[in-house]
Amino acid sequence: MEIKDLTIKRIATDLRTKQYSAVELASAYLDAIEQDKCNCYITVDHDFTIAQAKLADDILQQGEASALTGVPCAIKDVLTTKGLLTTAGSKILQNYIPSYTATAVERLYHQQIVTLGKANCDEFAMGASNENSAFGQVLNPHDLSRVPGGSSGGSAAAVAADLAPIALGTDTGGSVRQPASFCGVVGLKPTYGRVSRYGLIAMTSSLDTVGVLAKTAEDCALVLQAMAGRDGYDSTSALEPVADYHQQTVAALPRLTVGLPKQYFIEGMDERIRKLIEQAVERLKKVGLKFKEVDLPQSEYALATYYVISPSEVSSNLSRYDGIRYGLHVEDKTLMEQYKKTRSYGFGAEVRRRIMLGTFALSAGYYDAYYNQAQKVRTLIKDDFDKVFKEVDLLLTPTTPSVAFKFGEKSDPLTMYLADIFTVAANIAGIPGVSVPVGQVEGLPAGMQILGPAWSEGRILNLAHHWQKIDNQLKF
Amino acid sequence: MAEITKKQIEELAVLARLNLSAAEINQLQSELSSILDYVTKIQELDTSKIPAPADKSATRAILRPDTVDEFVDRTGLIDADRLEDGLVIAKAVFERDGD
Repeated sequence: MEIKDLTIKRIATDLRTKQYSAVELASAYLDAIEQDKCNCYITVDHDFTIAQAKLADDILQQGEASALTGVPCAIKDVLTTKGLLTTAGSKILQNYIPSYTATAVERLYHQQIVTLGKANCDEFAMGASNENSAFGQVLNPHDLSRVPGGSSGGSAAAVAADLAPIALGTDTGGSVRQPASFCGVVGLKPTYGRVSRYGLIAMTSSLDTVGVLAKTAEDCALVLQAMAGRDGYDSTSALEPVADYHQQTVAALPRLTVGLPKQYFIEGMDERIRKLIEQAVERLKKVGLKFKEVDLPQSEYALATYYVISPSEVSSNLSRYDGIRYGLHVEDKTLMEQYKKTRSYGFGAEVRRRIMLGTFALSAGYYDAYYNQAQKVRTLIKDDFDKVFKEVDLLLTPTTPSVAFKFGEKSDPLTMYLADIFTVAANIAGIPGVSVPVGQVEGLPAGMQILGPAWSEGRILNLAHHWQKIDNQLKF
Repeated sequence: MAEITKKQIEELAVLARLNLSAAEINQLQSELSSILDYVTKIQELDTSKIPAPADKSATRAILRPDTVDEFVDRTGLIDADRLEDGLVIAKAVFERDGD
């Protein structure tokens, strides 16, 4: 059966008109995954998937289904799934079977979404190319010699390659938006605190968010709505009420004023991407949107701030991997040697690099100049956005300075970090953002990023949805 | 150039509980120096008027009502084969003389 270009809406209709059952749909995806050349998945458990699909069929029979019932989904392997191997893309958790399921995932299970498998990702969500996974790199379905982006590379590639209609990812510095851009799909990062982080294996606790990848902004809205909301198990999850994101997404497009931050249209970005964005702006003007150049003066410090805050929190969060209670354990004569051997063997190069950087930034004598200073600069960056959102409703920028690069091309760590230059500021400020396809450069997808103030997921998805309509992306 | 010495790398490795080979120490010294060089630019900004801690974007911890919430799924959390007499079996962490 045909599983190309399926969306939640299409699947919901097909299941109800009995074109196929949830079990048949899941089986078709599982068959396709077996032929996967892109290494999108770390773990696929047929029995687990089919059991969930059977449950979905029962619910559909009883007439109690929601839009998500029976919809197959890939889940990034940094989200815990009870009874199903969860590795965070790392050797140190290569045998870890969680005893609980992440709240975001649990809420989707509650509506009988069907887990296709655990999507491949950069180790502990650290990376922008999915080259850092202990379970092999993920290939970009548009060009197998190129990266899919990261760290949610498996999730983005799966959606792009029709190996899942939707996927969960996580976005800490751009890890949903950047791979969405590289793979030609839609990627949503919600406001920090919108979705519970319970069960999200912690990387940078003050920046981590659970996001969605799909072919349409509408699908992102449907998934967000099901996951969002206060969770007693996550004290950083917000009390902010959950809006009807779906309704807000498909509503008529209001006459918005959109800012184009001058710091995001810089030297060194691919001119062809700039052109695509400029063309998009012209087409959006025709449907009533106003655009103006705006200023985010602290933009140049966002990446540096991120690469102080993130490694610092990483060094603290990853200290729990000591081989004692769970995960990999390397035996040795003394406890100290066991810790060192377990961690040195279990963690990959990028993880070790960031732990070391973070340990430095937090150590006595450097804490004030680095970590403390970074936390203060964070306020300045957030203030920039708060000021700008008094002048404009939303912001539009390129998602990435280039299209997907080749494997091994960014071997210098700092060069790799610069891939996130347009995405990190949103994480630092805690605001939501969505990347939507804006065209192609020599056959490779490019993405356009829409940013909004905190809690404006409905509005950014609404613009993304209408852009997809104008650009004829909603052919399904 | 923000310099980080080999000695500092070795000390950090102990704090981070990592074993590093001589080659890795060399490589990390050069990589971290270059990264620190880049991130050091945050010190250019005047943050003297910003109180610490300055994280406005993270939500303050929101407390739940002070009522008893019975947790019933104890056995679900830990497999029976890791329990003995109600205690969790774990790897030894205390060293004794002569071990």
